[in-house]
Amino acid sequence: VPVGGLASEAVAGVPWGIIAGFGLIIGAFVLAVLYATLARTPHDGAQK
Amino acid sequence: VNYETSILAVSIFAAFVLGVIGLSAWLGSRAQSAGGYFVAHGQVGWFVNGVAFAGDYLSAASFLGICGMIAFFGYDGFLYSIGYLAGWIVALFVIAEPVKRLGKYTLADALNSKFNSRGLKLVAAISTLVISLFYLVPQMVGAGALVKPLLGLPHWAGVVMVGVVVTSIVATAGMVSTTWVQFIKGTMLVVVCALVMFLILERGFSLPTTPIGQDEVQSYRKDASGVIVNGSPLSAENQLDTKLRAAHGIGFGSIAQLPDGVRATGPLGPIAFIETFSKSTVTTWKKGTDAAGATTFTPVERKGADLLLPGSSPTFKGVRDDRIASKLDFLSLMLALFLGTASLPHILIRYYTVKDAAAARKSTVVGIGVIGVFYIITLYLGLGAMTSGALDPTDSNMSAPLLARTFGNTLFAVISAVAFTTVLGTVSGLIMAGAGAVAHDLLCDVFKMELSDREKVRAGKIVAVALGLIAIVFGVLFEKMNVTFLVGWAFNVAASANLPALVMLLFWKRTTKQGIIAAMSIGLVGSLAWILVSADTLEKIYGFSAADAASRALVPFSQPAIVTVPLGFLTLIVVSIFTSTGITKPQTSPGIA
Repeated sequence: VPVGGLASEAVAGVPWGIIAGFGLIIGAFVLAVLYATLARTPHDGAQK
Repeated sequence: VNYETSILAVSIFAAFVLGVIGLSAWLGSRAQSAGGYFVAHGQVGWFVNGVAFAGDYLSAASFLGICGMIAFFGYDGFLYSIGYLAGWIVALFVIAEPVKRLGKYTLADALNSKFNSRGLKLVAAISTLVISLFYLVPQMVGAGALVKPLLGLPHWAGVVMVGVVVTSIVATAGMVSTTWVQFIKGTMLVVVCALVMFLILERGFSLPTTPIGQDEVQSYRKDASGVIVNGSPLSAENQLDTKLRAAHGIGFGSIAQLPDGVRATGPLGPIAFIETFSKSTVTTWKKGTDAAGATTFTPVERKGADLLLPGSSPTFKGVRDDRIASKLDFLSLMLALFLGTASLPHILIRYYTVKDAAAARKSTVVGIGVIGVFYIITLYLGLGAMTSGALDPTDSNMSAPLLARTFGNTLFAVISAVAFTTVLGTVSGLIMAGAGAVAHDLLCDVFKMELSDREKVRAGKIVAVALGLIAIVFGVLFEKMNVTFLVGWAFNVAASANLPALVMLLFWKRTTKQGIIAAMSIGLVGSLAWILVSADTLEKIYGFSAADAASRALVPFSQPAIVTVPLGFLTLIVVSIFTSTGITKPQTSPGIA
C-alpha cells in the first residue's frame, strides 16, 4: 500500500493531499476577494 | 440495493417541482422582451448573480458525480472539485470583465465584437450548441438516476420529467426564472449539504456488527428468467445487499478497522474526521466478472491513507502509472477542468445578467465562495458515503442520496429533491445558452432573419423545447455513464474550442476573424474527434473490453485538452499572421468570412 508523499501526514494527522486541496480552494477565494476589493478598471460603473 | 418509494419523499419532491414551475410562471410576465428573456434585462444584483453562478455551475456532476467518485475511489473525486474551482480563477482574472464589456446576449457577441463576421458567429453558435449538448447529457443522466430510488420510476421517466419541467421553466420566463431557480438551488444545495456534513461528523465512524470476510463475494446476473442476485431471483427480500445486511448489519461500504482498536469513534471534528479516516482500514468493493458471466463485487480492505492518495479510479490511474501517456491523460483532464470553466457558454452568458463589469467581478467572487464551500463539503459527503454501509455498488451517482437515507427518509427526500433542483438549475442554464445561440446568433445574425423583439423571444422558446427533447433522448441513451466522467468531456471541448479564441481576442491585437474561426473549428473538431477514437470511448460507449479498447484506440490517451488547447492557440496565431492586414478594423459590411 503506497503511503507517503501526498498521503503522508501533514498537520494534525491530515494528509498533504487534503491540506493542498483545501488550501487551493480557500486560497482561490482569498485571491478573488482581494482582487474584487482592490481592482479598479476604467470600465467600472459603465452600464451596458 | 432496495429502493422503496416513500410518500414523504414524493410529497417533498412534488412540492419542490411545483414551487419551481410556479415561480417561473409568476416571473413569466417580466420577460417579454429579448433583453428580458435572454439576459434578465442585465439588472440582476451581483449577490444574487453570484449565488446563481453557483447554482448554474454546481451540476449533477458536482453533487452526484463527485460524491459518488469520492465514495467509490477516495481522493480522485476531490481532484475534480479542485480542478472545477481552480477554473474560476481563470474566469475571474481573464474572462469576466472583458466578456461583460464586449457582449450582449451570447458568447458569439463577445467573440464577434471587433469583426462583425457572420462566419465567426456561425462557428461560435455551433460551438455553444455542441458544448451545451455535451454538458446536458450528464445532467439528464443524473436526473434519471435520482427518480429511480425516489419515485420508484425507471431511469427514462426521470429524464423525461426533467426535460418537461426545465422546458417549462425556460419557455415561460427565460433568464429571469432561470436566475431565480439557480439562486434558490445554489442556496439550498449548500445549506442541505452542510447539514448532512454536520450529521456525518456527529455520527463519526463505527464498525459492522461482525467483520466482512474477504471471500464474501456478492454477485448478480441477468438471464432469460430475470435478474439473479447471489443465486436467487431478485425480489424485495433478495437485493444485492440483503446477505451483507443480515450477516453484518450493514451494506456496501464500511470501516473494517478503526485506529486504537475502538469499535466506534463517536462525534468527530472536521480535522479529526479526516485524521481518523486516514488511520482506518476501509472495506471497498471491487467490480469484476466470474466464469459464469455474472457481475461480482469482491470486498477489498484498503488503508484510509491510500484512499486519500490520487490514482485509485480508472480516470486517474495514470497518476500511479509509469507510462507517460497515462500521466499525460491525467494532466490533460486537469488542464481541461482548469481552462474549461471560463469557456462554458452557460457560465459566460451569466455575465450579461449584471449591470456592469464591477458587478460581474463581485458576482464571480460570491460564486467562488459558494462553490468553494460546497466542494470542501463534498469531501466529507463522499468519505461519509464510502463508510455509510449504504452504497449501491452498481451506481456511483446514487452515493449522496443513499448516504442521506442513512439519516432518515426525510433527509433522503430533501436531498433527492435538492439534487433534482440541481439538475433543473444547470439544465435550464444550458438550454438558455443554446436558445440564445440559435435564436440570436444563427437566426438573426447568420441567416439575417428580420425578427421583432417578440419573435426573437418566441424563437428562443421554440429552440428551448427542441433542445429539451434532444436532451431527453441523450439522457436515456447514456444511462450507465458516471456523470462526472461525461462532464470531463464537455470541459475538454469547451477549453479546446473557446478558450484560445477568447484569450487571444482579448490579449493579442493581431488576432483576425479568420484566426478565431480556424482556432474554434480546429479546437472543436479536434477535441471531438480525439474523444471519439479514444480508449475510454471505445470501452464505455462502444462496449469494447478494456484490452480491446486500448489496442484499437487511435490516440495515446483519452483526454484531449493537453493537445487540442495548444493546437487551438497555434492555429489562431498562424492563421492570424497569414490573414492580418496590420490593423484590425471593424468591417462595415458583414459577410461570411
